[in-house]
Amino acid sequence: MKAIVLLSAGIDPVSGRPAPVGGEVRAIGLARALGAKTLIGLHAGASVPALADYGGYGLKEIICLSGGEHDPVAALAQFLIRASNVSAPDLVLAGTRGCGGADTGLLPYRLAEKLGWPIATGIAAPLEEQPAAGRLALAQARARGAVRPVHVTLPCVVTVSDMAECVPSFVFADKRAVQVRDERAERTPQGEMEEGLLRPYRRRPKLISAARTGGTGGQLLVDPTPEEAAAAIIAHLRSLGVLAAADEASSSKMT
Amino acid sequence: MSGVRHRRHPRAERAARVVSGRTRPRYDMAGGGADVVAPSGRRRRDPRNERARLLTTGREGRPRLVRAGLSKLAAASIATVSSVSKKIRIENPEFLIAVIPDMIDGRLDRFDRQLLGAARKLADAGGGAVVVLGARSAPPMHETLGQAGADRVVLTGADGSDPEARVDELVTLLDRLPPRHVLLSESEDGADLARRLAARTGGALAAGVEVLGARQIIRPCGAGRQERASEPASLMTLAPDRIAAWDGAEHEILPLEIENVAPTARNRVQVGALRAADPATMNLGVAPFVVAAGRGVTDFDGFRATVAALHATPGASRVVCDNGDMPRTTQVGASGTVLDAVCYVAFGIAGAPQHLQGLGRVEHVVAVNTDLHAAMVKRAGLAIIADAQHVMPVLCEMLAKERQA
Repeated sequence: MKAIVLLSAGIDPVSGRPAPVGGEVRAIGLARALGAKTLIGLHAGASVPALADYGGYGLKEIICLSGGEHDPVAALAQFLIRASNVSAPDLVLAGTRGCGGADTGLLPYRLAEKLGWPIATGIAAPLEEQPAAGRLALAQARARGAVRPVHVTLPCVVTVSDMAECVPSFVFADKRAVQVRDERAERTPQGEMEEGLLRPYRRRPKLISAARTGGTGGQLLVDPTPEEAAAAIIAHLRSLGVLAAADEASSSKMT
Repeated sequence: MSGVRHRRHPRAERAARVVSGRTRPRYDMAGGGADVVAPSGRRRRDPRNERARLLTTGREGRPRLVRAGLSKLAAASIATVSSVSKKIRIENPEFLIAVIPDMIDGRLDRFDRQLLGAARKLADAGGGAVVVLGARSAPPMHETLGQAGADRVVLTGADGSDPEARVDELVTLLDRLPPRHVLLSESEDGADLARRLAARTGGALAAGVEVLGARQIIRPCGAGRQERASEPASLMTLAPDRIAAWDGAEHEILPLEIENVAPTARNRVQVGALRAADPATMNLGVAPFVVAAGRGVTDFDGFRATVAALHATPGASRVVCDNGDMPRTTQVGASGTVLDAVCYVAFGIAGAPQHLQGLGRVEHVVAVNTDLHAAMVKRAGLAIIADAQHVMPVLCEMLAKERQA
């Protein structure tokens, strides 16, 4: 399987210095978990030193499309179409959103639309049981550790969830060994400019949620018998809804 | 001195006020309404009585004193007003604002209401109407949507199992409407759908809007270090808990003439049903229900059995992890994991400040501890002052018995 990971020249949210983007690092991890034989990093824009950090996470080769920063979607799509004449990539992986630019997370969707490929989003891991060749079974990460299975036909674009646990370990020697190659992208006209005023972020208060339900104020049982205590705990947990009711518990055990 | 001097007879007065039909004697101090006549013959004011006569129920059931002497009349008029509150009708809107709520489990949750509140803000600025694009599979909820501020409802057929078919259908519907703005929530599903819509239509997307007005929106960018202020975009997603839900009068949902779209399955992407994580192995930071052991627990096999019976995720205090009784990954607190749980049960944990830091966002705490003055007992919604080592096996047994029954 040939996989391409989209890389961006991101910044660290705290220090503002160039740094790899977490979602893209996870994308490299997911590509490795999927067993990609060839793994290439692709960056729309001139090469910057910070890109070599991605090499430390397991990329051997990074291609920079210099001149592609004006219209990254067109530059990336052109490269992928050209590459598919030689050996077609099966998979394009990307982070959920960039870090340091417009940060809308729209680029993978636009690229999939341009290539006419399907897109699977918010993926955390591959599923255990894989379907026949030409399709891929992936696990979409949802809140509270829940997972939704996603089946997608290849070739496809996959965005990786920021909650995915597939962070590869960093190897400094690999960072030194990575080949960053510049390729000239065809000059494309400037894409649409974002309108509006850019200024430093101002923290604004969030809405405070309505008064918490319950407001038990603390129920206290001093020296109860173990039976009383256990019954009180079970009743309390049931009233909170975290413990399944007795009949549900027994029925779920049967199924 | 002329005439008979009136003397108060306290016992008789009291007897006149007895409310019958109760086991314990009760006295109606406000009853009667007649003012007391003083021994001199002058009527004495009874402030309590006066207040009771003036008291009416105002808006939202708040007590209100009507001093104009028309208390009964006023009460009646207020009652009629509140019972027949007028619904707001928008018959010929200038423009439309489309809202696509998530409707998880077919319910309108907090974020969906905030979305409708934002749409109301945009619509009310220029005489527009709010259209909700809701799934047909959800139960009918015109009343709830009207209260949340919707004017029209369009039902869509496709569910989330084939996202591309859903996008196709929505794009066709939005073409037929066509709305001035489309609003979605920056939640997991809403964010995905908004980006699919933006990619399909090729339009701009304002993602994660934090401030919204009729003229200006503000959203963060540049790794959260910058923000961009611009005019409202045609497609926007709203960050959660930023824009207040609609709390004005109910809107009436009027029918909207629109041709239905038959969704066509594409089957390139298929999304299955949600699978909840196994609590025994899930990441402690996202677990909804955590049961933790502290120094008051000595039998850790029993503790693990209890956790399994409660169907919870195991946690532990630092001391327990240091002793090697529980793995380091289960440690709760400043040097371990900060929880995001709904409920936390602490067996034998006193609650050191470093441990309590780990309970940052936990709503409900249950503590079982021998020390009445422990910090964990103060934090707990249910505190049991007993030996955790005696309570755990009984709890385990009771749950096992329930399961067998």
